[in-house]
Amino acid sequence: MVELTEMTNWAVDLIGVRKRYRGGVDALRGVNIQVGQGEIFGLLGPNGAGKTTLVKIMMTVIRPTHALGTILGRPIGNSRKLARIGYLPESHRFPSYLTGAQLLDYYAALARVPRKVRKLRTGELLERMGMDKWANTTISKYSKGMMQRLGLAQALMNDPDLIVLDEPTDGVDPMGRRDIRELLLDFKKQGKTVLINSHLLGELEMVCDRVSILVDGLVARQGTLKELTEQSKEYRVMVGGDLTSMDAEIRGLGGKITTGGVMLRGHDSQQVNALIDLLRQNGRLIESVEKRRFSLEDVFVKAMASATSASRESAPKAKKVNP
Amino acid sequence: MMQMWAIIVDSFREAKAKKLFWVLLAISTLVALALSCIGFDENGFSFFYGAIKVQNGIYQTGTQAAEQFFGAIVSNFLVGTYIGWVGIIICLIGTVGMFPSLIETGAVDVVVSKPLTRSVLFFSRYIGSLAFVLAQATYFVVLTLLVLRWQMGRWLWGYLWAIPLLVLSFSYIYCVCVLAAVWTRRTLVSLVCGLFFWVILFGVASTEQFVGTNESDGSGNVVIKYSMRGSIGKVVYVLHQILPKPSDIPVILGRETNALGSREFVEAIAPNDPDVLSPGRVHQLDVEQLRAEAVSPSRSIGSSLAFEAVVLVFACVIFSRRDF
Repeated sequence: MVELTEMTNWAVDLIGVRKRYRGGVDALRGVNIQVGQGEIFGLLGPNGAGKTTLVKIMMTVIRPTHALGTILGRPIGNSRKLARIGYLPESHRFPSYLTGAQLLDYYAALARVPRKVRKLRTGELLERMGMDKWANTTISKYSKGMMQRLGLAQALMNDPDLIVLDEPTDGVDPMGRRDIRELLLDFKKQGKTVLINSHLLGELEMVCDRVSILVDGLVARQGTLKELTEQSKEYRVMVGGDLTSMDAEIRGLGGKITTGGVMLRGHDSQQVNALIDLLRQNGRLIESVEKRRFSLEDVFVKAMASATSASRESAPKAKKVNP
Repeated sequence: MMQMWAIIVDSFREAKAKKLFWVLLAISTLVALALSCIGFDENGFSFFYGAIKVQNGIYQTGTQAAEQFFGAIVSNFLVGTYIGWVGIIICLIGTVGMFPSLIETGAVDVVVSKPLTRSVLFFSRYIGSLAFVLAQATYFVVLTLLVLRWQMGRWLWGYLWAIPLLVLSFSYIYCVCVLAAVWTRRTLVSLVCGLFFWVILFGVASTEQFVGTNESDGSGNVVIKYSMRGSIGKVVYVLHQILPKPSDIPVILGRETNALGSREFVEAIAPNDPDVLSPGRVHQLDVEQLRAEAVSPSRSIGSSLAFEAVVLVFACVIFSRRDF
């Protein structure tokens, strides 16, 4: 069931998306995701979290059990708006009998792009992807990286407002990945909205404005990278000598003795000063104080751990199944 | 319309990319060449454009037997065998993978995410598959028509009906393949279902003929009465009315080409041969001819198309509601 909510400024505004497959397996258990216009949004999560199911629901490949919300201001599956979306699916299989140029022309025709525009954009995009020399070669001869670049090109043939990319750097070499990152940043400059589903946290960190971490069919964390990483920060105070005799006092300040020093989680600098005072009062020599912000990977692992422990206590786990 | 055309063209490209497309064209060419290399002269007939000559007192230039020879080939071989079932089997093998390849994981995602309804996608793909058969049928029929014109000295225009009728006959079976394909997503299962359905149709048509009675009208002529014989007869009769009737297609085409009837055909290939044309055999041939004359093209094609439409709508509903 797909219902229309109030018009929003979100490019993607999904509320309570649920998907229950046959056999009663819940792939999504009420996902709420908002993607702002003109931003690059990352969708993270472990295998089976429901990321691809969510993307497929957005692209009408899968029918939701329940979904409220809008994409580009219209209900999910609205034909006119689908023409404004570019989509690169995960593990795509393109017709091997077509040439690169034929493939782009075919998919663009399905996206209702006029013939003249198709011809023009085919040349432009193949050149941009560095594949203009391969335009008339059947794609059965393409490497995986070339297929991925062609996939990206087909997603851009209709000059979309929203670009949905499922594992876009899968099989692409480091140079190609850098090209794709630059391309994504270009889209952002042009005011286009990008939603990326990827396992490669480091890459998402480099380009995404906001991310959502999906675990067991639910959103475990969502926000800007700054919001997510600011919440999780730690100080590492490196100290010479043995600290075991001070264990109770250090714990009292929220610290934890580690190899060569003390680790203090949080972002309260007064707590750090109190710890330093305590150490100096006890004659310890402070070697260094390091402020460390969590990486997206740290946030991801933390979200995974808390979601897993929560799900152990309550509901049965969501599992990914093939439809 | 742009989207439909793109899908139809793509389906045709897919079919053309398969070796079978060219193999089928080669077979058609060979059949036409084989037909063209048979000839007649004053002493008998010849093969390979006169390279091998066979003396014969019946088949000579100008004899009635020789004149009817090519007509017999059209009615018995080209229409009955090649168009009736060989061509259909080859076309089924060539097109049966079209729907499974469309709904293959990874391939279907891009297509169904485009701004077109799944029913448009489904029916465009179906038409695209038929375009493959249409191309093959057109090539074969036009080529053999030219050869027949050369051999017979006259145009057999009615033979052109073989093009749409072959496509029609193929579609009766193919719709079941499509239903199996969208249901199971497997090419082999789809092909087996189509062939099994064809066997069922053949069985029903044969049984329906068996339960019908052949009676003499008292003046020596044979009359067929389709009276029911018990409940099995009624079931078979109803099934025959509902199900497609591909076996009627060669009969309908035979009429359009003024092909020889069963008795005329035997008389043409074995004229004045009392062993071949025994009274019992003549009766049997007359019954076959009468049954052929009893076929109503509009009723046969109409009921078959109605069945095909129901199967396709059902397949389309499955396709439209499916998660990929």
